[in-house]
Formats: sequence, C-alpha cells, structure tokens
Amino acid sequence: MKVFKITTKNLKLLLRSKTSMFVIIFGPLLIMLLVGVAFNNPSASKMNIGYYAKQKTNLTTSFIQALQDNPNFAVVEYANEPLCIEMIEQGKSHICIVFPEDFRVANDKENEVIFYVDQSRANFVYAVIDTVSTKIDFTSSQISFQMTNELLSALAMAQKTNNENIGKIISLKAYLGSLSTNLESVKTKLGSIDLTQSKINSVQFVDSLTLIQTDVTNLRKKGLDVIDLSYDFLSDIDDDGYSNGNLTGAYSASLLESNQGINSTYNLTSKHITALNGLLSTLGTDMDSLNKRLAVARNATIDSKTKITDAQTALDKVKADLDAIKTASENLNAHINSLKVTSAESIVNPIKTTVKPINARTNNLNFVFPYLVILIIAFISIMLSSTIIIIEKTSKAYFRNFTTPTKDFTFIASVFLTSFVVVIIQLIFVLILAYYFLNTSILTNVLLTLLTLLASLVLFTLIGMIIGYLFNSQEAVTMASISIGSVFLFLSNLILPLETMSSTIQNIARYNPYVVASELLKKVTLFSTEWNQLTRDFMLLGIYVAVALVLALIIQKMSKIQYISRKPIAKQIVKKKEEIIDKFFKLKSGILLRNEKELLDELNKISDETFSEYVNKNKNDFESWMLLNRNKHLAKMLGKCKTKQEMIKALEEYRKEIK
Amino acid sequence: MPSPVIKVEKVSKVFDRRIILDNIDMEINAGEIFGIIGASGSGKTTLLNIIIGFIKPETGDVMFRTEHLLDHKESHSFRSVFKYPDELKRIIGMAAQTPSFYTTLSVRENLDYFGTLYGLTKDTLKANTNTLINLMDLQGSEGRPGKNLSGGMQRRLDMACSLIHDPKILILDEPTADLDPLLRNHIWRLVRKINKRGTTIILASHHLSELELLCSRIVILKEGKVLAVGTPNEIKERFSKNEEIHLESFPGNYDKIADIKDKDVLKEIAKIEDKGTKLVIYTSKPEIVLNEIIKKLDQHKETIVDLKVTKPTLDEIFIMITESEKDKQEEQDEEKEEIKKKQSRK
Repeated sequence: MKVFKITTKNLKLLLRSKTSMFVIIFGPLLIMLLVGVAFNNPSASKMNIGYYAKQKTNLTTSFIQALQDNPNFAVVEYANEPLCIEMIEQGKSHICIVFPEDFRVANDKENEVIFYVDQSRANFVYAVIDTVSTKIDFTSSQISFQMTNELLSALAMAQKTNNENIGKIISLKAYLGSLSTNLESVKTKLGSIDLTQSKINSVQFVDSLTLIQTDVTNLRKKGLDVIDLSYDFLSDIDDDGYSNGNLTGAYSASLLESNQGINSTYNLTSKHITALNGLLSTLGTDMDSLNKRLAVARNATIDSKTKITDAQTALDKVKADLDAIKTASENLNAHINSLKVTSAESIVNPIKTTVKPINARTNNLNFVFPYLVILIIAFISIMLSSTIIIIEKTSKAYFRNFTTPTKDFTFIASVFLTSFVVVIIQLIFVLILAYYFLNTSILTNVLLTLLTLLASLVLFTLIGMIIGYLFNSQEAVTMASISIGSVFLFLSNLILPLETMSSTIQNIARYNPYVVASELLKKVTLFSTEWNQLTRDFMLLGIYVAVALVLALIIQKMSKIQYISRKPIAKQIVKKKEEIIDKFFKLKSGILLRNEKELLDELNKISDETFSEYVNKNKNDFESWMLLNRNKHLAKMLGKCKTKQEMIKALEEYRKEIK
Repeated sequence: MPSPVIKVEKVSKVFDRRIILDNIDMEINAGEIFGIIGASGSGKTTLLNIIIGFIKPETGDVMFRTEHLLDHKESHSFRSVFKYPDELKRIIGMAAQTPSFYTTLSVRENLDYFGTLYGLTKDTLKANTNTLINLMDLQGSEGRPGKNLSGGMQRRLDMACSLIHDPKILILDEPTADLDPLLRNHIWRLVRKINKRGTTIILASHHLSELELLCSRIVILKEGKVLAVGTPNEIKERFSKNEEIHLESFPGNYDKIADIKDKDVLKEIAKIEDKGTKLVIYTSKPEIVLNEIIKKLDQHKETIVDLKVTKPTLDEIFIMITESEKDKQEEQDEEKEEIKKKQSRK
C-alpha cells in the first residue's frame, strides 16, 4: 500500500513538473524518431572520392574506372596531392586516393596506393576505407587474375611437355635396356670364343714323322728281313727238299712282290712323309701365324669386353640418369597435379566473400535497433531514477518521510517502481512504433526479448538510483548520469568498434552492462538465439542486478545518514582506524580529543602557551586524562613531559610501540 | 504528579570533534508544552533530532513511553528511541524549521500521502485530514498546491502533516521562524489548541517572550549544556530576584534621577539602565527604591509619563544567564592571562 502511494506521489511529482514530463515522455520518442530517420535507409550515402594520379597508366585508368562505375561514389580528380588532401579537410571529399606515378604491374615493383582519410570522422572513416579499398582490391584482384591465368597456362604447357618427355625417356630406357642386353650377349659370345693358342708343335710332327720315317725304315728293314728270312727259309726248304716247287715259287714270287711292295710303300711313304714333313713345316708356320693372330684376337676380345663393360657401365649410368630425369619429371607432374586449385579465380580469390545479411531485414535500423532500445532504456532509466531520487532529496518533504514509520526499502522500491512504470510505458510506445513503422522484429522471440528488456531496465534503473543516492544536487546527478551513460556508450560498439580499442579496454568493455544487454537483445531479436546459448549473458546481467541492488541499498542508507547527520558518504565509507576511548578530553578551544592520536595532532597545532594551560608545574591534564582512561603506561610517559615537544615525542614513541 | 513521556538521559553529541550536546538530562511530561531555548548553535535542533531518533548520540539515551502505556505510569514502559524507531514515529510528529511537504502536491494530497505513510486506514485518514484542515484554518485551500500557499499557511500545512497520525507528542522546531508577528500569534494559538487536545508539545524557538507565555516548562541551552530547566517563573525566580522599575518622565533627565546617594537605597539596587527614553532600575526591593525615585522626581521637577514595576522577561533572564556565563568565561580567561604573565616573568 505504502509502496503504491509513494509511487503515485512520485508520478504526480514527475507529471506536475512540465520540463521533466516533456523530457520523460517525449525524449525517447524524439530519439526514436531521429534515429529512425537517420538509419532507416537501405543504401549507404554517396561518398565523395578524390584522387590524384601524376601519370595515368592503364592500370590507374582501370582503377579509376572501377571506382566511377560504382553509383555510390562521386569520383573527382585533383591536380595535386595537397589539394586532394585539403578537400578532405574542407569536408568536400571523404577520401583522397593517390596513385603511384608508374602504376603498372612488373617484377619487383611495389605499387602503393595511398588513402588519405580524416581520422577524426571516427567510425565513418572505417566505412569509407572499407568501401573504397574493397573496390580497389576488386580491381587489383582482376589484374592478378589475368596474370595468374597466364602463369597457369605456362604451367599446363610445361606439364604437357614434361609428360611427352617422360614417354621419350621410357622408350629411350627400353632401347638402352635392349642395347645393354645385346652388349651383354656380345660380351658373352666374346667370352665363349676360344682363342687359346694351338698346342700343335711342328717339330714334334717332324720328330714324329722322323720317328715314322724311322719306324717305316725299320718296318721295311724288318719286312725286308722277314722277306730275306723267308727267302732263306725257302731256300732252306728247297735245300731240304721240302720245297714244293710250285709253292715255293709262288711264295717266292709273293715275297718278291711283298719285297717290292714294301720298297714301293716304303718309298711312297717316305715320299709322303717328306711331303708331310713339308706340309707340317708349312703347317707349323701357319700355326705360328695363327697363334699370333689368335693372340691378337684374344687381346682384341679382352679389349672389346672391357669396352663393352665400360659401355654397359655408361649405359647403366645413362639409365640411372634417365631414371632420375623420369622421377624428377614425374615428381614435377605430381607436384603440378597436386595443385588442388588450378583455377586462376580460385587462386586470386581463394576465399570468395559474399556479404549477405544474416536475416532478411531491409534497413539499417534493424541492425542498430537492439543497441538503440537498450540505449533508450539505459539513458532514460538512469536519468529518470536518479532524477526521482534527487527530486525527493531536494524536496522540502524529504525530511518528513523519515519521521514516518516507513522502511527504507519501501522508499527504494517506490522509486524503482516509479521509474519502472514510466520506462515500461515509454518502452511500449517505442516497441509499438518500431514494430509498426520501422518494421523491426520484436515478436520473433517474445519471452526472451521481454526478459532481456526487463533485466536491462532493472539494472539501469538501479544504477540510476545509486547515482541519485550518491549525489546531492540536480546538477551533480545530471552530470553523473550523463557521464555514466557516456562511458557505457563509448565502451561499446555503437560509436567505435570494440576491436579498434586496446585489448585491456576491450576486455573491460565486454563487461560493460550496456554491451552485455545490447548484445543479448541483438542475439534474441536478430538471431533468435535459444535460451541455452544465452544463459551466460543472462547470468551476468543477473549478477549486475544483484550487485546494483546491494549497492543501492547501502548507498541509500549512507545517503540518509548524510542527510540527517551531515556526515558525507565518503567519511562513512572510510573505516575508523583509531580507537575511540570512553572519556573525551575537551580542550578549552572546544576541540574534543578522543584518543592519543588526536592529542598528538592537536599538540602539533597549539602553541607552547596554550600547552602550558594544560601542562605546568602544578598539573598535567593529559596525564590525568590517560589515567582516567586507565592507560597507566601512556599516563606515565606523558607525566614525565614538561614541554610540548617532549610530549609530542612521547606520543610518537607510544604510537610506535602500539603498532 | 507529572508523568514523563520522554526522558533524555546523559546525552552527549559530538560533531567534528566539537561537543554539540554535553551530558544533557531532562524529562518532558505528558500534556505539557516544553520549550527549548538557546542561541543559534546551542544544540536545539540536534537535541530535537536526537529525541526523534534521527541522530544517535555518542553517549546517553533517549527513552520514550510506549504508545499503549502512555496513560499509565509504569517505569518499565520506557523504550529507547534508537531501538524502537518505528514505534516512536507512530506517537511522535515533527515539524522542522523549514516546512516539510511536497510543494507540487495539494494540501489534501500531502495529508493523504503522509497519512498513508503512517499506516492510517482510509476512514481515519479522511477524518484526520478534515479535522486538521479545520484545526489549521486551511478550509478552502485543500486543493491548492503547497507552493501556492502563503508562508503562514505553509507553516500550518507543515504542522498538519506532523499531526496527521494524531501523535501524542509534537515536536516543533522554530515554528514561527521567518513569520511576521500576526502569523506568529496565529501559530501560537494553534499550538495551544493542539496542546489542549492532549498533545505534548516540544518546542524550540528563540522567541523567548512568546515561549514564556506558551510553555509549561522550558530548558535553556548554551553551547550544548543545560543552563536551566523549569517553569518560566521558576527560572526567573532562580536567576533573578529583582523586579524592574520602568520610568518615563518629562523632561527626562535620567542621569539626575539615577544619581542616588542614599546608601541604604543603593544597596538594594542591582542595576540602573538609562535607555534614552526611559530609565530601568533592577531591584529586589522596589518599594524602597520607588520612594527614593519619587523624591528625585520632585527634586528635579520631573513629570511622570509612565511608571511600572514588572518582573524581568525570559529574554532578559536568558541574556542575563548567558552573559553571566560569558562573564565567568572572561574571568577564567583573565586568570589564564595572569598565569601566563607569571610564567613569563619567571
């Protein structure tokens, strides 16, 4: 009941203040309208591109042509580089491109195209660089494509030739193999030729013939002897009468015939032997000659075999070389074949980038919508809740609220509820406008969208409440709210991409409540991300809410103490280190001393005359004070002191002791 | 026998190492109008804030009699304002120096709002609102925003807000500050009316002469210390035995009239002040002094324009007390100087 009454009162106070009502009611709608007009544009704005080319090559012309072909670019040529840059300074150009003098593609030639931009244009400059450099890169890619195509053709030709060569090598190898076989065969055959010298000795033949001659002579002699004997025998037979005239005569005739035959054979044989001897002599000569030739032939064969072996070795080497050539060629082919990407386009643009929207939204507002809604929630919640509190704190009635038996939490809850109600109403307006007029998607993931919006609303309202309780004037609250809001904004993607900031700032910024909330809403509305992928973000928001709530409760308490007892919050936070002792010492100046530390501080300020009012030959008030506080040790130390300096020294020693 | 509703027990408060209240002891009785008087910075507002439990003292406590036992006398019915703040707030109302209400809310809306914060039922709230609008002479202005009310009406609305829950004790801190005499009288009349309804009123003001007529008892604070507590007459008696003879004569040669030689008369005169248009003689025996004065008037052919014998006002007593304190302080300072001089001689 009380909460609703206070909330109603807060709403009345807000509505009865014309300026606050205007800001609260129309502020978000105005922001929405302005941002809607600003972002509700499906295409980018026209960019003015200045360029300077001292010498126009074909390449320069192609680049310029490519830029001119883009309907979003207004391309202007400037007479010199400084003028081109000056146009940026004057805001007439968004970018100045300076082409190199001899802009052409050649070996070891660096073609540096310089972009001049106005860095003070913050995020716009990145968009300009990105758009223009994309165009330049595209043209550059086209040139690379042509060159790569030529390179690839040459490579294909080389591969073809290589393949033919491999075929030739193979047939050559086969021919060499056959040759080697033939050589081996020749070598074998050469090896099988017996060119051993004849062992026939003509002298031996002569000797043999001589022996034959001798034997023949002996044989004739013996034959003749036999014949003689036969004659003798026949004679004897005749003599003995045993002869048969006929028979003996026939026998004698046979003997005679044999004798004649022997002689004739002997003569013939001798004749033959002589002839044979002559022949043998010739044969011997011939044999010598033959042997000599055989020796020559053998040597020649050996030499031929050696040479054939050498030839074979050479052939083997040729074969090995051919093998190596073949392997190399095959490897080359394998390498060429191993090139998976053989399309020039694929080499020049290995990754084809096509920027497609991840959803079917048609205007830029859809992309900034989550950031915008959270921005509205953040600013309005912070401003509103802090304003409600400061209106209350600066109100004449603030004091009276404390005289009522109302819990602090009731007031906190009421402020929260008031802010919550107002922002919810505004949010409904904004969402309806966004849904019907800006065609944004808020119904794709209704529950999670609402949860995100509510969590953000709660968090930023609590942050605003902390600010409201922390400061005591409308100006301070406004400044603090704007400052906090600005910090949230600057440490987000809305003004500059987080990626452009230092890693430390990036890490901090990722925990920026605004970033957490807006990224969460983006995931929910644009990507329709499921709950299980968002638990971390929701958990983080939950932690923020819990921390903010605890802080709001603590600071509200401190703010109340500050209001009633005029004790600044900073002093409330600082922990009292010095022990407060039971009995104070009141100096005649009205200053109260609560402990020996304050006595020491005061002794350093007072004069010796003032000191003598407390410590003189009749008394030592500080000694008595310490005795009263039952610090006999310090009392004893102080009791010995007669001058201010002595007492300061004693107190310093004591403080060292107790530390 | 008076029954206390608030007991302030040995309360000391220090701000920035300066004693604002020094061992304050006092009781406020049921049904009385209790005045707290003191110069600026004497600790009046701090004392009131401690009584209402806003500020916790370094030492001491403030006890209040619990609501349901307010009409009884059991000593154990007292509770510390710091331990039972909500209970205290239900029986106490406070109007601070500056009117405390929402200026953009109307009279009725303010009363309605604060009544709700006190947890009043709808009927009680309506009844109390109507009663207070009549009591505070705010009829016809119920729908006007607070900022459009006159100074006196704003003060009355503030008091109405303090009374919306019908508290047993009402604390008023300088309720007539910045108001003209007519409006001040109006406020004092209202205070009496409220008191007559049975509300105990604790009142801090520096309009001493007005408090004198209004308060049952008063306490005089100086530099955080209680200089005196009691009814106005008790305090006057305690701090001044003298009466004041106010004489206006023509042609008004007051120096000649004041030139009294008679030693018997002189010893009865505490002080004579020539205030230009009149002569004020402080004496505990006005009849003796008057005889001598009349003689002097005859002697110097002075015609009496006005002559009255009065008791000193609370203002005068306050000045007297604070000045006597000042004198004591000066004496102490002189003593110190003496000691210093002696020491320097040595």
